[in-house]
Amino acid sequence: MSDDQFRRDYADHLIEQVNKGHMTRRQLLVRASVFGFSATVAGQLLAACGGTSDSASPAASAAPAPVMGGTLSLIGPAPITDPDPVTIYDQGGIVLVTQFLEFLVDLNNDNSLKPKLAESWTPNETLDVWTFKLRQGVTFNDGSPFEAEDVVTTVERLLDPEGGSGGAKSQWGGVLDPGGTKAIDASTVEFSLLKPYADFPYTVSGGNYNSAILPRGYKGDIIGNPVGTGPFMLDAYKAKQKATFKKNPTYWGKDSSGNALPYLDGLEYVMVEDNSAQNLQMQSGAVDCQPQTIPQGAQALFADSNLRVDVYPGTGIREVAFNQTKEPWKTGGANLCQAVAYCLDRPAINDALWAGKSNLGYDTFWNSTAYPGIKDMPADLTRAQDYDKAKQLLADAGYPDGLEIELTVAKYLENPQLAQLIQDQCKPAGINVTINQMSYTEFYAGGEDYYATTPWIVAPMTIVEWGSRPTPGIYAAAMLLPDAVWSSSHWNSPEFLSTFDEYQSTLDETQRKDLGAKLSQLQFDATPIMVPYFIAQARTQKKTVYGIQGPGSFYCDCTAAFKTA
Amino acid sequence: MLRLIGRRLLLMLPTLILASMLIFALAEVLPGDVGRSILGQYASEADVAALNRELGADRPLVVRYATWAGSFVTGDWGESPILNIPVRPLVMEALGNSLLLAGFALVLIVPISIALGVFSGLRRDSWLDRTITVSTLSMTVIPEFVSGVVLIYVFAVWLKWLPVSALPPDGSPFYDRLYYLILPAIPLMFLELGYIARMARVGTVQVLAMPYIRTAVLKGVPRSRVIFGHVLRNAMVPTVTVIGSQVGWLIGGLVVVETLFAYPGIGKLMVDAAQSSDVPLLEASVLMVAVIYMLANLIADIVVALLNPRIRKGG
Amino acid sequence: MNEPRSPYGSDPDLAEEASWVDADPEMLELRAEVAVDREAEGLQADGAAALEQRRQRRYLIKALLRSPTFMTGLVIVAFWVFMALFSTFITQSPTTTDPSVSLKPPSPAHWFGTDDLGRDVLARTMAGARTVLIIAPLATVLALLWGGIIGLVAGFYRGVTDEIIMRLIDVLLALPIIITSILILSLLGKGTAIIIIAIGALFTPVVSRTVRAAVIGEREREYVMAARLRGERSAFVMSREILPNITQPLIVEGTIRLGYAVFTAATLSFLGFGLAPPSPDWGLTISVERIYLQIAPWTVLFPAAALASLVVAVNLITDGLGRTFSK
Repeated sequence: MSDDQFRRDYADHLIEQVNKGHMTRRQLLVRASVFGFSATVAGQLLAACGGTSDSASPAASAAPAPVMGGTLSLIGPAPITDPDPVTIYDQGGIVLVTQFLEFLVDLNNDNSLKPKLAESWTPNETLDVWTFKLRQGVTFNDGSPFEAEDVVTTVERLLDPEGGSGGAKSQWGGVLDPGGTKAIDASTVEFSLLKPYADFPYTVSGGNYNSAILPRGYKGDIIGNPVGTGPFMLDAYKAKQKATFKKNPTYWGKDSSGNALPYLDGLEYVMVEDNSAQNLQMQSGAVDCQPQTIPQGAQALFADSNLRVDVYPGTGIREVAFNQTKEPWKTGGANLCQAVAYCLDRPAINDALWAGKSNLGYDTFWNSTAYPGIKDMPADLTRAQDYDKAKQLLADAGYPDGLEIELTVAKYLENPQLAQLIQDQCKPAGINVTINQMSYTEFYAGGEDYYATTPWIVAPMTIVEWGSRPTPGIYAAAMLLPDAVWSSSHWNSPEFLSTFDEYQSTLDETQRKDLGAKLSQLQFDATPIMVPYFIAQARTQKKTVYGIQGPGSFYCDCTAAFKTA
Repeated sequence: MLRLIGRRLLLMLPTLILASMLIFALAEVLPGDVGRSILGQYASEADVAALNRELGADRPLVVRYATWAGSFVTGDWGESPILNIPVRPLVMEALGNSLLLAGFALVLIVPISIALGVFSGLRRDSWLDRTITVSTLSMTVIPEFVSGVVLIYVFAVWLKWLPVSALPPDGSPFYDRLYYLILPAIPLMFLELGYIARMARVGTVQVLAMPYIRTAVLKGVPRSRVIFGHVLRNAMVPTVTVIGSQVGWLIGGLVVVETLFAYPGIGKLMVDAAQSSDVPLLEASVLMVAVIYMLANLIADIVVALLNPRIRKGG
Repeated sequence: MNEPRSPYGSDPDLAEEASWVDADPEMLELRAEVAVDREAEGLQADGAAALEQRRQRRYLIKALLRSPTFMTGLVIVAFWVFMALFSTFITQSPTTTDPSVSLKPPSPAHWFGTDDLGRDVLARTMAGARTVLIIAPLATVLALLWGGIIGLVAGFYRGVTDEIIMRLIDVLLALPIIITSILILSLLGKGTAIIIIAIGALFTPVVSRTVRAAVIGEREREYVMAARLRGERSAFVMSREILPNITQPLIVEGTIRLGYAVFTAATLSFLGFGLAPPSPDWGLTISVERIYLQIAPWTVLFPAAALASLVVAVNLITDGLGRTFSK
């Protein structure tokens, strides 16, 4: 079957799913974007669908007309290290470099994909060769042209076995190897994967935060040579204090009316570590935007009449992992894990920690409220607090009189508070939880053999925070597969692995839904980890600030941002 | 006198050397290593080991210390492996910031403290004395993170009388810097008020017990001359000493205030360095703080000696 | 965490020139009281006769009970000791969470309001006394023990031993306290016992200074000369002759350190060392709840006030002791 035929068949398939009511129009748009259909084509597909329309796209917010000029000030933590895009892993570093670097593909607020440096992309039939067409006429801010070779060198650099990027390798592990990326011509890149992988485009998006495109001659020292394709240019950098950016006059982007982007003349990133200190600065009007607002302790921001807090469902989680290679989970098995899961009063946890704003999680990644844009979502599985069931499961697991367990947690974010809630909620079932709290450094520190000694991987029961991941599949790959390096649960399920491979080798929506349901059920039944919630992402800005994009957490896309007044 | 000063300066050297060795040794036992701090928890073991090798972090302790010490004494303080910037300008600027903040706070609070202390010493055991003692003591025990947040909220957010940031925009004149430092200085002032007032009180009480004071009073010397001529000067002895030691403590102990007000001082720099195993930065900042501590004490001792003629003559 | 030094310098030459004993500033406060009252009443304290000592002790205790400063401090400390022991029988549970009432202001149901997990702040504030009252006194005893031994040895032997010891002490004192505590605690680990050891170690240098100064003052006295002429061994002289005569300054130094220890324990908790949740320890609570200071100030202000009251009370006791010892 030729590529064109394949694309037409897929298009028909999508339309059919909508007409049959298996997919909403909104979900069609997301799926189409993943597949690589342009927005125009996706719109045509929508038009071809019959029936009543649900709101296919989020209502355009009543934003005023863009104002040119001005400087926007952002506030957030300082980059922990010298912010080399290849190795950064923290919010400060990522927010900083993504002002002047861009990805092939962008993430919308609802985790659908949008072309950025790549104009379009298509898979082959078996989903193991993806071809990306690059945008024409883009230059780096030093004048050199952006071409396929830059993409190839960026990817190869990330995959370099000596050095390279831990973050990128985790997303491409088992999927893309060094040498699998080729420049077909100056504006086409072909990725030959090791296996079929439907979620591949997400791995070259902002979701893979180290994959920002760097010029082919990049040799390190990003601060000294901040060359990128992005809307802003790094003007000055004072470590741990402030970074200033100015507008990139040769930026390729234009808004829908054809005006050159960005609207702003410049940006300022003010580095403040402490969250309360950040909040107080927002309240005093000293800065314009706080890209990541941590809801705990930010109640005053919500109530402030000069500020607007955008809250949207995020996909970050707190993984409560049961290490299946350690006692008591080793002998207790799924029964024991489930017993603990049935002790949790999830709405109460959500109320206490998030003022009810987060989405409840039920221990599987396939959660439709967290991933509203993803089509192949099976029906949600849920569980409520049930002490009778918990006690029964305890007895089945061999602990009729209850047991003692230890929970290791870092003093970071709201994790200790979650630990205390879990501790308190497990008491009535006879499960006594001792909390082993350590500093963030200690929790993530390790000895000679890091992954065999560091607490977050090795302790019997841990709480580990994860930033957003654009699809349930990417989460599963990172921490549930038998060979996943970052698995704190060390869950080893061959059935899950084979089902997962099947899941990633098809784009057929019905098949994906069925396979997804199976994966979700497997995870739910074994409960190697608990996921009590998917966190609410919040971004605070002055009411006079508009146009900041990005699904929260690390992303603060100011390309179309502007300030009135 | 000069002999004493010379001896003290000379003694600083072995103290600093010992201190630097102690820090190096203790930094070994801190959790985490520099390669992991740079690459994060998701990096592979191989990548981290490679980076550590590249940075020389896997060499034996003695070798690393000798290398570092060798460059340090020649003025090359090295680069921070985490931030990839030279250590000396970073440390000196942070040190300057902390000195400015501490100095500013002390300049504002010392006159008031001394006045209160002397006053309560003169009126020993009166209800005024007890009130001043208890209230200054209570202010000292208010944690800076509590007083700091309350102050920011009241003065910067609600009343908007003062800026919430501790740093003015770039290129502002010097007095602007002081204006922005008013709010961060207040928690420090609370802290210091108690100690300095107390010491001034002690000094006052001691002096008032001296026979020659009673003689002067009996002889009819005006009270104000007694106070300003003799009492004050001698009450300064313990006061100056405690101020000297407080300067040293303040420089390194401002972590909480620096965090709350996002002020780039040396306290926070040190703590961050300790937590990310950034040894060159940790060493340089700790040693500089130690130097300031010892110099401040020395200057205080010199002033004390100048105030007390017996010492001056004897030295 | 403050460690004021001797007002007369760490340099022994300077100190001796001034003929003031090399001591902690608070010590001077007390000596000032002593000087004044001796001068005023012409009393000479006689430390030699045992009978006289016993009579003095009884007199001291009576005098203490009459001192308003001492009694106020004692009552407050006694209140917290009572709470440390019995609060869980009187108040609601300090660890039961109830998210439906999180961050509620003081009300008849919760006199001090609730924290972010819906726990009763009154219960937690009262129960928080326990950790402080275990850690601070034990840490102080450790500091007195270690510092006492070092100070005795250095002060008694003088010479090279003294020089070496004091230089090492100087090094320890020159290091910023925050770094020393991070390093010690990273080295030792977690738990109440570790914090006690760490704070004890942190205070040992300062205590050793004070003890050394007191020993230097005593060692030229006749009874020491007599013992040495008799041929007594040094250890005997130190422990049997000198030590009993420096108990008074040692006790006072202990109470001073106690106040600092309370404050230091809270600060270390704040920095994230040692105590684990769900401990209602004041320092830990303040460090966790401070992000709610704006919207729920009761979660922070009550533990902070409790901490302040305890530290002030300990200082009042010290004050009262000082004023009384001088009479």
